[in-house]
Amino acid sequence: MSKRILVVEDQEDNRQIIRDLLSATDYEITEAESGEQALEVVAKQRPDLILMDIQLPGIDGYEVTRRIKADPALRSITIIAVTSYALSGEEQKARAAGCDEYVPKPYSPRQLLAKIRQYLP
Amino acid sequence: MKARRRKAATLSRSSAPKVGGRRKPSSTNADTTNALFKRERDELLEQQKATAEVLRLISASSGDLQRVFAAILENATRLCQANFGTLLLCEGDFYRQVAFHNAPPAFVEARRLNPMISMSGSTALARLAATKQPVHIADVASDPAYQTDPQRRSFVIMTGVRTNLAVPMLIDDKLIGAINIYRTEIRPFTDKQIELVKNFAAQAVIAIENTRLLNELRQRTDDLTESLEQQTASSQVLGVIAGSFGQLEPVFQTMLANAIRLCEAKFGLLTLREDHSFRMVAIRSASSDYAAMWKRKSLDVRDHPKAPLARLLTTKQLVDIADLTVESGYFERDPLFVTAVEDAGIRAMLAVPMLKESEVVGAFILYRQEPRPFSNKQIALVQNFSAQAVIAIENTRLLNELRQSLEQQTATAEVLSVISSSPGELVPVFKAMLENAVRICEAELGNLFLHEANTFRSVEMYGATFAHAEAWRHAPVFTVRDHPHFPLARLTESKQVIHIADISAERANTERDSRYVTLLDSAFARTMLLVPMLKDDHLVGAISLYRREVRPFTDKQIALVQNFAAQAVIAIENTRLLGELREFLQQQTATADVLKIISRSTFDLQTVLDTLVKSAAGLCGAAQASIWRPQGMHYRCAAGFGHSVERQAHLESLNLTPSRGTILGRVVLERRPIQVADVLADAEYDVAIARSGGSRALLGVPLLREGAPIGVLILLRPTTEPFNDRQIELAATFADQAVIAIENVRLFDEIQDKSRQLEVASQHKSQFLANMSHELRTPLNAILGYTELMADGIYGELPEKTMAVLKRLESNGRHLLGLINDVLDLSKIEAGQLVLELSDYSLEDIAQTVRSTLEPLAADKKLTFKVEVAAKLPPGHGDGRRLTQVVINLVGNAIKFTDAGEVVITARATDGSFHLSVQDTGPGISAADQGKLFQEFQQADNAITRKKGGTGLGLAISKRIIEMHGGKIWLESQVGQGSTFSFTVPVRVERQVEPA
Repeated sequence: MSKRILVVEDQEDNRQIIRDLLSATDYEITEAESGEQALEVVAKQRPDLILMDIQLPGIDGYEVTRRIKADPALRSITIIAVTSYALSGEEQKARAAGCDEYVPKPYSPRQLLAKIRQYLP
Repeated sequence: MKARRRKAATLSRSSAPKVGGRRKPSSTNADTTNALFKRERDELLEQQKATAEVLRLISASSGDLQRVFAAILENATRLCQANFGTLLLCEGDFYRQVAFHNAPPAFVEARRLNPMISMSGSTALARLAATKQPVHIADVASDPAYQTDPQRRSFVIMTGVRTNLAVPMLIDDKLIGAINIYRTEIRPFTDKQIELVKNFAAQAVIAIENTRLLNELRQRTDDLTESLEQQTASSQVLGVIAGSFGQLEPVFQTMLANAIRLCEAKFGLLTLREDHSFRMVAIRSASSDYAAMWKRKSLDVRDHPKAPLARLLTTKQLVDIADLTVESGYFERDPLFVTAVEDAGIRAMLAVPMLKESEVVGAFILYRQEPRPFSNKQIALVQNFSAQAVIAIENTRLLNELRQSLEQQTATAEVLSVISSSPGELVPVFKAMLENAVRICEAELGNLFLHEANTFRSVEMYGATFAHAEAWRHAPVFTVRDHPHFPLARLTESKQVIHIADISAERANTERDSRYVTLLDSAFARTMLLVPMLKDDHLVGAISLYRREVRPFTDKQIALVQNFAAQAVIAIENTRLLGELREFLQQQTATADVLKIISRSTFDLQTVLDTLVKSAAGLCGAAQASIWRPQGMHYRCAAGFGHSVERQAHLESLNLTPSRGTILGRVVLERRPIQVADVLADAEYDVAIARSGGSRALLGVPLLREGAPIGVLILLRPTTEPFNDRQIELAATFADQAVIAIENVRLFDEIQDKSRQLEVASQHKSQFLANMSHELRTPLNAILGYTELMADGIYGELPEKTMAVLKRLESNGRHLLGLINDVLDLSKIEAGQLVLELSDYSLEDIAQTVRSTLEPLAADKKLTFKVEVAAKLPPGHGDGRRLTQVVINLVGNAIKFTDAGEVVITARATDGSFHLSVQDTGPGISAADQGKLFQEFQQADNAITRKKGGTGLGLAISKRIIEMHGGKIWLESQVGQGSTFSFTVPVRVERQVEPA
């Protein structure tokens, strides 16, 4: 069965990039435009990996992460935080929230793919 | 003596006295022989007996030669069967008849009248003198010498002598006398008899010698005894001197006693000279009348110029009179002489001067009632005593002086100790002073006055009678103007000591002043001493002493009182200063206390103001105090002390507008301290307010900050006593402290406010940065993302030209990203938000990372790229990522600005720091430009910047990062010689250094 990746991103351009990037792969992609939407989707269809943009309208990506990680049924989902907040301590924040991985924006799509493949071989 | 005795004895024993004739050998029978022997033996025995008797007499007589001579002659005459004998002693060229035995009275008488017999001529004695041998004349009558010499002839006739034997008395061959024995018949003496008489002569010599020696011994003994007696007397006197401790009487008495005894005087006296008079100071063994006469009146030599003492005084020599009755003074019936001779029975006298440094200070006089002069020894003794008397007098004088000095010293010390032990209290000082002054100066009454504006006030008395004390008590203040003749009044002008020997002599003045008379009478004052108390020539007071008898004070006593006066002034000064000091100290302490409270409760303004009003009221002598602060146009009471609860509440309810009707208003308007002496008497004062408080005297002091009033301190008193300068000053101090306290609080609040604002601003800034970061990166993500995807062919194969353009797009995008990162970094640093992530790193690894990252770039420009890292570098602790950024920046710059040659990285560790350098062979940088380099946004030359690219932020950021590690970064370069950028960082950085 193909692995499911949830892309949580409010910017259309960025979503498109991921879509295009992962088009050549056999990962199944679902999308959410906000934190709340993400939680709904996760509840309905448990993904294997989440690409979590942090800067979201409403609750931010960290909060979503926290909630997901708090749920024993969902804890094992890999969450990669993607953030354009480049302030120091951001990585710690991400890890503290429960993220498994941290990628600063702007990222190289190639390298992101490589990281995804790491977690979902 | 003994030898001679022995000799004589031997002589008498050894001489075998031959019988006068020869032994008839013929028909003498044994009886005759026996009888002869018996007669011889008897004779011998008799002679022995006689000799022994004489010797015994010699030893028993101890100098009584007459007896010895008599015994000798008696024995000699008897034993030699002579009729009479004589003994003569030589005296010069004569013999002197000294002893007879059995001589005819006419002869004796004749010799008594004329005892000297010449040695010249040819008489037996003359011959004896010439030959020093015995002369034996069988018949003097037929001797030619006796026939021719009429005297001799008359001698013969008178005495009837025929046979004469004269034997010399010799000492060591020197003739000292002769023994003569005579017979009135012609019958020569036998040899035995001659020997016997020679024997006796020898004994006589012995006797004479003995006597002489004995007398010598006696004399010497006498001398010694006399000396000893005198020594004893002297030492006794000295002992008395030493033991008498300044008392002369016993010394003089002892002296006189000894002098009288040793000099065999009847009585004696000692006088001291006073100008022209001699005053008797000691007399001994005289009749009471005579003593009384001397006691009554001293002897003035001017009245009796012939008196021995007058002579003594003029000549300074001793006067030794054997008999007063032969003095001309006696002839002239000078009563002095008459009394001395006829009443006191004086005949001889010795007056010895007592000299001190050649001046006659007295005389030592001894008297005898017989006209017998004093011997030299005695005179010497008296001179000795005189000298000792002078010494004794000197000693006493010195001792008394010493005593006096000591007494004064002690008194002064006592007074000083009272001054020092009762600091600030004048009463005990004045008391001690007066008591000591009166006692030592032998006065009866002492008074101490203080002088103020032409009045004297009696403040202390000692020894006053009740009447005198009362007189002063009734009117303690004496006004100079009212009694201009009072000595006190005179003192104010002269400021000198006034010493009046007899006040009653000043009656002329005192009669005019009844008060003066009363005072003096009540004190029985006669002699008076008035000493001014001066401070810098200003009359502060006076000390007066009175005596009830007319006896002036000595210079020493006056000096002592002056001393005390000075001490009194000092004591008064001390008290004044001490009082001032105490007051000052009190204020200082209070001020310090208030400051302490203020400093402890810096932000508790109310506590501070409460403390201030309380302290101000206390120290400024106010009953109430309050502080008022402006609120808008009005003033409100911020703190109060001393008011009742209701009153305080009332005050706090007020909103006072500053006007001239209140002290508060006046102070605010005039911005200076203001006093209202009596609020009820002040026309301008608001009547209602004036009445409401109950206060009369007010003091208001402004609280000024930079000249503008920020409050008022008000002090109130229920009496009209004004506040003095010191209190106003003190109130001003409190006002200043209130200002400080208020300011402190204000500033503190301001700081709090600002801090909060800063905090908020900071937060805003952080938020802004985060937002900026996000906003800038988001589109960049899309640009770079899509570019990469396109390049990877996600959207299909692309022609080469398109690929090239794509590459350029990517490159620009990356560049833009770099710029954004730099700007964000710098902003973070500015905002103090850049935080080093401190962890272990390896400098070697950093170097290698840099090399791998930038080597391609160097290769592109055909530059040599060297990395020279020291071996065994210690592990570093710091922000490895940021340090890498720095090295990349430096190397990147080096490569960028070098067109040919090499770039070298060197790294080592020294003294706990890493040292890294990046050296290039570029164009070098001028000194002027070096300064600019590390500043933000600057590159050495804008033209180059445009050509080479770069924002110019890199070095600034690198500098910050290095400095945050606590390191240093610098540049060494010369134009045309390349550049070396170096930095040091501590190997271990535990805490980042905040940017300055």
